[in-house]
Amino acid sequence: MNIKCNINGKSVSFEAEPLDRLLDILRDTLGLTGTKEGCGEGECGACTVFMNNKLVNSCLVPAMHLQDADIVTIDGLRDFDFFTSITQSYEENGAVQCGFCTPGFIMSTIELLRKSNGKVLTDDEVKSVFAGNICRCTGYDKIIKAVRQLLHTNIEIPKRFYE
Amino acid sequence: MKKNTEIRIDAASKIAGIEKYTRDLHIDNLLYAATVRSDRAHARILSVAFDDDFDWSRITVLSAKDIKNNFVAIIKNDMPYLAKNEVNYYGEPILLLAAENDKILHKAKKHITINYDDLQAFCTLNKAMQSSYANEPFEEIILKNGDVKKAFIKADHIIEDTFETGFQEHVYLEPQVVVAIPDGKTIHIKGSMQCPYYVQNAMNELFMGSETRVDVTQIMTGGAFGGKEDFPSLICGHVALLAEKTGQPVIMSYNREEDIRYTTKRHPSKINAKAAVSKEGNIQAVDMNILLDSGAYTTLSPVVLARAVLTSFGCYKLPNVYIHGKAIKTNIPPCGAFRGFGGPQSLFAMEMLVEKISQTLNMPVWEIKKANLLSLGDKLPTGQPIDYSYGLPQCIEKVLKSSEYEKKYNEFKKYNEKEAKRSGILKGIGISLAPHGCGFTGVGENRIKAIATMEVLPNGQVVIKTANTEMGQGVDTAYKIIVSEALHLPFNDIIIEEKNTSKVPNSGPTVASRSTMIVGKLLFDNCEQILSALSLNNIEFSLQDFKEATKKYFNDHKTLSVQKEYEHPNFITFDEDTYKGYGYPVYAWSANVAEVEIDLTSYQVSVKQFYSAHDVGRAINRQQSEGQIQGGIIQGIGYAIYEDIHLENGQVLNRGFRDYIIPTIEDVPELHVEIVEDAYFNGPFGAKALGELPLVGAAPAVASAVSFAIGKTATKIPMTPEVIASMIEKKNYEY
Repeated sequence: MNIKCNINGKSVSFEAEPLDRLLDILRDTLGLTGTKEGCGEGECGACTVFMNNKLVNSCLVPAMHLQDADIVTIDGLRDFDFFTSITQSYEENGAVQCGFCTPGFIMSTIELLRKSNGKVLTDDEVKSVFAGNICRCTGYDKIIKAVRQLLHTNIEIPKRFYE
Repeated sequence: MKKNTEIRIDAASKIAGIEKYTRDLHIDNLLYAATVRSDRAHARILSVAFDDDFDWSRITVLSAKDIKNNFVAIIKNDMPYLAKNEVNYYGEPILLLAAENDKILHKAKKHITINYDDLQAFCTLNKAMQSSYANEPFEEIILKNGDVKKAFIKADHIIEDTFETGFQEHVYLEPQVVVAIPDGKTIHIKGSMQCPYYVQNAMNELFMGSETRVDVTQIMTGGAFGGKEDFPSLICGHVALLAEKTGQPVIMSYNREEDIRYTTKRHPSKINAKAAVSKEGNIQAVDMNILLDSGAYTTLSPVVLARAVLTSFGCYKLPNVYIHGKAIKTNIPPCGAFRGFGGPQSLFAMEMLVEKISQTLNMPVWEIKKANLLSLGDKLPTGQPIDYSYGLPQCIEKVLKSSEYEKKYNEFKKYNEKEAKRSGILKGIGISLAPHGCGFTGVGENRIKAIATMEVLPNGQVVIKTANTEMGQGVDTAYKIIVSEALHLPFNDIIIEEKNTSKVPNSGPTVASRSTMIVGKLLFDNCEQILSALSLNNIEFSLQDFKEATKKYFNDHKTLSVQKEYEHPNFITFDEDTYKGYGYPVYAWSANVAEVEIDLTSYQVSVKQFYSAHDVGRAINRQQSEGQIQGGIIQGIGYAIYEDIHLENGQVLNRGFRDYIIPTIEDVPELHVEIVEDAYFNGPFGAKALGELPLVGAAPAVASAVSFAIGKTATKIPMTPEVIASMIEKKNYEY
């Protein structure tokens, strides 16, 4: 089937089988390799992307659901100004080790910032956003610290993430 | 030393998703590989049949018949790349397929039939010990000290139990993946791996006598924890053979199910331990029988067993010991390296033996530990004196204070007596003390003779050349810190050479917590050689001085390259027959306190607080050191209560992350990590080892807290709800 959708702000069209995974389309068809595959069953969150402004595991999204969808991946975020703040906070707090889970955590971080919208969240509220992201290296502590620091910074998340 | 807060060099590229892992590489004409595996635990292969009605023209098939030197070179070289006549575990590779996409491979697999003649399989330690496997261990070690028999005759109490630990899966986030790219003369292997020279050596053996040459490059590796130490040699052989046959690049990329079911794991263990104890709680002798379930082939089991034996005495002064270890064959997937490497198994047994002593004597466990603790100047049962870099007492002091151990000990005791019935929750606090030998066991480092090279460029930049790999632990950043500090150079003037075996010397594998201490010290020594070549003898030279001296040097010379080979300090010797001497050049130490709650309805244990202090000699990068400690503790907590592999007739039943549960962010306790720095004279700036230690002490601390809460010694990990139920209700549940 032919699919047209919007990926990282660009309109794209491609051929796919109905059950092809969004993850493979991103990585193999479109060469957007920032999104990683850790488990292939929606448990680890390494392949997290935004689809129509909601976090999804791209390994669980079949191509047939992509018609006219709006997808944002880690590869589409680097150029936004707010991404610098996220990078700094993760760097300064030592929240990255092997880095394979990190793009997925960054996507969830954006969801968290969107959710908090200036409010300070409790640790439990923070943790619930990351419940679908597995990290085997850090013990999560430094990721929580990085996110806490971000929650105390005024970060403008672009409007396209709210619509 | 000042600069120990540098930001790790690869963080930004990983955050942005631009760091390239092996599957992210763009490779033209790439073929995909798949493995056809045994579905029997132990059988003779009678025949392999390919359906005539399937179009095989687009598939390359490779079998044992195609491989002249069909063994993976590790220690005993007993594991084949592909099984020929007999399979020894469920999942053993029998055939390799390569084709232009995964879909064809998937179809092709369904058109292959393998006929077997089943042989008797021994898939558990208990069954193997009743079979001929018991008499042919992959390795057997006996460590004796003092007069154990006499001590048991004189003892006031003899306290004994059998302790079991389970399989543990590494769960690196990036599954196994390697690629082989032939260029007519050489096959270039690239992949997610810890030890490019292990792979290089295995490939040299595989292609011995043929024209094929191989070089090996480590690509950014998404976690390893030991799981990418020995295993990549197998799959690198697979892709190299397929690349040789097809003349095209071939990738082998495991999905999570394949990775969980068929790659190496931590050795399960069964350890019988017996102590002779005085009525005051002094341990006069320990008799320990360690059995490691090694799986179908030797892999690294002999060395894992050695570390299990050398960790078994914990942090205690044991005047008399008899420790007998065996690595036993079973018909399950081969076990391999895993962070801690035998230490987590035997330390669990020793710490729980102490727990049982405390419960038998009705004395607080901390009192027993204190009474038997090593002091500076004491000797380990190997005869190794503890007379330098012993920061354990400071670690203990820190965790007892930060955790308010003694206060909570009394509070929780009262709470459990009075409140637990009403609240449905038992509370526990536990303590563990852990040693971890730094670097290779025994005289291993003398055999490796690690080499590290450094080159100064004419512009004054410096290139570091080692084979030690970055897999998340931060070694590249640590090396840059060591060199920038020793040469007074800006961080960015130091370049890390690609980990390609044709470009870097063999500085040994990235294992055994040795990269910073052993190879980092070689870099430090290289720096001294450079300074001496540049005649920069005063300590206070500036960057400008360094650049000018370099310029001057290059006026007279073409290159400035220095190299250093590791030498053990000459008093550090070890006898491999008697296990006497220095098991390790030095130990790193930790003290840990865990607080747990046990839900009396679900029997689920949750860890609420975890306090830990580690003596690492010197933290080269404080932040990443803390990160290593925190990650290791969480992995150890997973080992203690969540992570459970189920086997049925030798078949791993777990299929992925749905049924192999590791701690998520919602499961982790509050972590309180402190670092103690008791410098080691032969480490860079005093640094010892750090990679493995955090995991070693975590499970015993949790098990100690569970033992406190239930009033009964934990004898088995993982302490799943079934295990907790059987401890509380004193019934045997099936698990």
